[in-house]
Parts: sequence; structure tokens; C-alpha cells
Amino acid sequence: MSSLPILNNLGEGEAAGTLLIVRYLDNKRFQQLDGAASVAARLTTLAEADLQGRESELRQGTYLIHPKGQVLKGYALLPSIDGGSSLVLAIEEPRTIYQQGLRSVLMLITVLVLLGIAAVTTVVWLLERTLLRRLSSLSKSVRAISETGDITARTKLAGKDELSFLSADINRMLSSLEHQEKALRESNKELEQFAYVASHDLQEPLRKVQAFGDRLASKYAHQLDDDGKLYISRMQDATVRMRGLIQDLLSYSRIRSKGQDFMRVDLNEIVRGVISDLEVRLEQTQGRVKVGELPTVLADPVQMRQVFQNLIGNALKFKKSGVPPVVKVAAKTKDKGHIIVVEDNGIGFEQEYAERVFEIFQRLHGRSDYEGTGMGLAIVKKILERHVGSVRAESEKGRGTRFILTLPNHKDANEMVKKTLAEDTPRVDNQRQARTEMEKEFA
Amino acid sequence: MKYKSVTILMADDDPDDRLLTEDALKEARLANEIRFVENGEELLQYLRHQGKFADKTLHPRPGIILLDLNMPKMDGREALQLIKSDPDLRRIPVIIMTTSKADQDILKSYDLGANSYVTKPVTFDELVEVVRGFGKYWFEIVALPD
Repeated sequence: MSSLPILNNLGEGEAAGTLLIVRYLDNKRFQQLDGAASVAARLTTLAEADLQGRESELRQGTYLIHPKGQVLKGYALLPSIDGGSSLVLAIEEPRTIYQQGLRSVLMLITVLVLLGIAAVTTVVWLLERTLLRRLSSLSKSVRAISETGDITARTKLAGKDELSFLSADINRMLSSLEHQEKALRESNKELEQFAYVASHDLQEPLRKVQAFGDRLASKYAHQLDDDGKLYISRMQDATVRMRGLIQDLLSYSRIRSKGQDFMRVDLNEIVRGVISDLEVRLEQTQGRVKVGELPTVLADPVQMRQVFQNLIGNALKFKKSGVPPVVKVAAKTKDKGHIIVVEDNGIGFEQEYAERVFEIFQRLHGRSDYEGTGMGLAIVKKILERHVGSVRAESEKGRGTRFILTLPNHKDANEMVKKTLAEDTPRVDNQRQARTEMEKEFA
Repeated sequence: MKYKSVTILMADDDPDDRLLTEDALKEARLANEIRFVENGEELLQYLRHQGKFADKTLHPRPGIILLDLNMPKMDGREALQLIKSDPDLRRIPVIIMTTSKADQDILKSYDLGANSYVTKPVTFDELVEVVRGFGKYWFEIVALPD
């Protein structure tokens, strides 16, 4: 429907009336149109149409088509008879192809995503299977070996990739370590055996030298001049010294082979016993031993006694002249074990000798100054090693000496000792590590 | 009288020990005769009067045996076992005299029937003491079989 004002023939002047032009399109007609075009068309006013600001384009006679979501919308201005326009024919067509396209795109995306997930899963699974699981099994076995120290164990990783090569390399390394350790153990054993046999067999002729020396001295001394008597007495002194050396060597070589089983040992008791053994020397030197609270450890009681006998005995022996020796024995217990410190106010020694003093037959002083075979601290060290502990010395010349001992606590001791007994070789690295960790805590 | 009659037989391969023991006997003023053999084989031959020991007057049956454990040919352990399983010889007391202090040697010796076990002393004076001690025990206190 449209309306036009009625003007004069020139199209001017006042409106003489209004011409209404109506074209009647009933619903039936629309349906027919619908059916013919298979399009859903409807009439709307300009204002109702969704023109998105393109009204001017429509007015210039262009058909507007724009897609809106799933629907394609087309608009055409229905010119009224007078050339004006107020109605719009709107055709809305569902966008089936577009929807199909959209569906295909969605489908494609879904398929791609699913494929992606599948691919990632596969890759991860393959990685896990070929790499991660193998890697973790490898690292697990390597860790187990480093924790137990069991170098006879091997990593088990079959295959032909870098990981299995790595595993084979680790095994090769372990084999060579095992080989070396075995050789070391054998050489240690041989040395101990040698020391034992040598010192045992050396005692025999020495016994004779001593016995015939005695005979000579008691039977023929009156026939000798002073020089002759001096020679005999020198010889006898030397045999006594030799006997000391041999016996110390013998006890050194027996530490590992002839030690007692470990049991609970109260170090307070041990040190009390040692002090009572040293009573005479303590009296002679006016010395004192101050003992703090000491722990109960898992150890060979005879060897523990030997350790404190040697350390406290040394402290009394290497005293400053004119200064009564004071020996302090103190202990501290940590998770990892016990630290025991034996400290004196004696003559001390330069720190550079701190390791040498533990070597066998090492002496820092002339025989005429201080007696002894130079085995005492070597024996201490070896005993502590048998107990999976350690000992080291801190000293300064003229300022006394500190001996710092470590011993594992019961629980660990049981384990470690079992291991050590089985292997008969001290795990030096483990000890050193445990020692430094413990000392850090102690400090 | 009985004291005088007891002969000591010492089985030891070490000539020094034989000499020193003989010396120690004198020093301890034990008048017993002492005879020596150098290994287990000789010991058994002596006791059974075989070979060079056939003459019973030159080689009288000992009243006591001093036996070293470590000897060539037949060692003291084997000799001890043979002596103690021989019904004729088993009554002769055997004193083990050796340098070994090993528990297993001591136990084994007593298991085999040794009557005493002595570790060889280090000094001569100690040896004299030991000899004097067992002289007193075996020849004065203890009654020995004839």
C-alpha cells in the first residue's frame, strides 16, 4: 500500500487530496509465492527490517543480502506505485550449504582434535615405554647400587638404543669397579696374611736371640768386660723393641681377622677401665682425665678398649714437661652416629703430620725422647675402620691434640657392619661422607 | 727313686729349643734324663723301639713326652692322635709345648688327649720356671704309671 498527495499537474501547489493505492496480496497469494519460490518471504516495514545501516543502499535499488547466523537474509525495497517505498520484501533462507560447511568444518576440527589427542597419547605412551620407563628403571637400579654400595648388582635394560648402551656402560663400569675392589680386597687380605705370618715367624728366631742373649748374660757376664756387657744389654734392648714391633704388627693384622663379634658396649665403662689401667701413669704425671657422658655403641669391646687405651695413653705420654696432662673425653650423638673427641694439652704436632701419625710404624719423635713402636694410632684407625667409623687428628705444636672419632649409631651400625663384614673392606667414601656430614652438624 | 727313673722325651724339630730346654732342665735342677727326636715319625719309632731306636737300654721308654705341634714329616697333632689311640702308649702323659697360642690348637690338642698345653716361653728365665713347674707337678705331685 502506498499513498501519494494529489497535486496540480505540475506537481506543485497545495495538495488537493491523497491518492491511496493498495495492492492486495492475501495470505493465500503469499503462500503461493512462497511455494513457487521456495523461499520464506515476508513483508516488513523499513524500520522492522534488519538492514544494518544499509538503508541508503537499499533505497538506491540494490538488493541487500547478508548472512545472519544460520540464515541468509535478503531484502528488496518494494517500490510503491508512486516510486516511493515503505515496504520491504524480506526473504529469509536457511543456509543449508553454509550449515553443511559449518558442520563439516566442525567435524573436521573434531576429527583433527581427536586425531591430535590420539597422536599425543601414542607418542607419550611410546615415550613412556621406550624412554621414560626405561630411564626410571635405570635410575632406580643405579640409585639402589649407590645406596647399598652393592657393586655386584647390575642394571637390567635390554634393547639397542642409547639407554641400553648407557646401561651396558654402567654395568661395564661396575664390573671394572668390582674387579678392582676384589683385587684390592685380595691384596689387603694378602697383606694382612703376610703381616700375620711374617710377624708370627719372625717371633721364632727372635725368641732364640733373646733366650741365648739371656744365657750369655747370666752365664758369662762375669767373663766379659764392660764393653761386652754393654753390647749384650744393647742387644737385649733391641730384641725387646723388636718384640714390641712384631707384636704390634701382629695385633694390627689381627684387627680385622681376629676381631670379636660386635655387641652393645658402654663407652663410659670402657673409658673407666682404661683410666684404672693407666692409674699408675696418671699418678706419676699428676694427670687427669675428664670424661663427659659417653654413648653406648655397637662394637668389639676389646678393640674399643684398645682405642681409648692408645689415645689416652698417648695423651699422657706426649705431655708437656712440667705441665700435668689433662685429657678430655667428650661425645655428641647425632642421627647419623656418634662423635667422640679425645683432647689433650700435650706437646701436639704440626698439622701437616695429621695424616701421617696414623700410618704404621710412624713416629714423630726419637726413641730416646718417647718410647713406642709408632703403631698405636695405626691400630686406632684400623679398629675404627672395622667399625665403619673414622678418626682424624687436629693439632698444633705446643698446643695439644684433638682426636675426633666417629662411630655409626646402633641401627646403622648393624647394617653397615654386616655389609662390611660381608665384604671385609671399609667403604671409605661412605665413611668420609658420613663423617663430614656429621662433623658439620657437630660444628 | 721313681723321680730319678722318669725319662723325658722331647719331640721338637728346632735344635735351639732342644738345647734351651736341656739347659733349662739343668738350671731347674731336674736330674731327669732327656732324649730328643725331631719329628712325629721319629717319636713313634722311638716309642715303638723301631729302626735306630731298637735298643731299649739306650732309648728307655719315657715317663713323659714334650711334644711340639709344628714339625716336618709328621706333625705333633698326628703323632698325638697315634699315641693316644695306641693302647700301649696312651698312658704316657703328653705335654704340648709349642709357640702357637691359637685357640683351635689348644682345643684340638686336648680333644686328642693331650695332658697339658704350654706355650713356649719367651725368655730363658721363664722357660726355667716352666720346666721347674712341670717337674714339680709331674714328678713330685702326680703319680705316673710305671
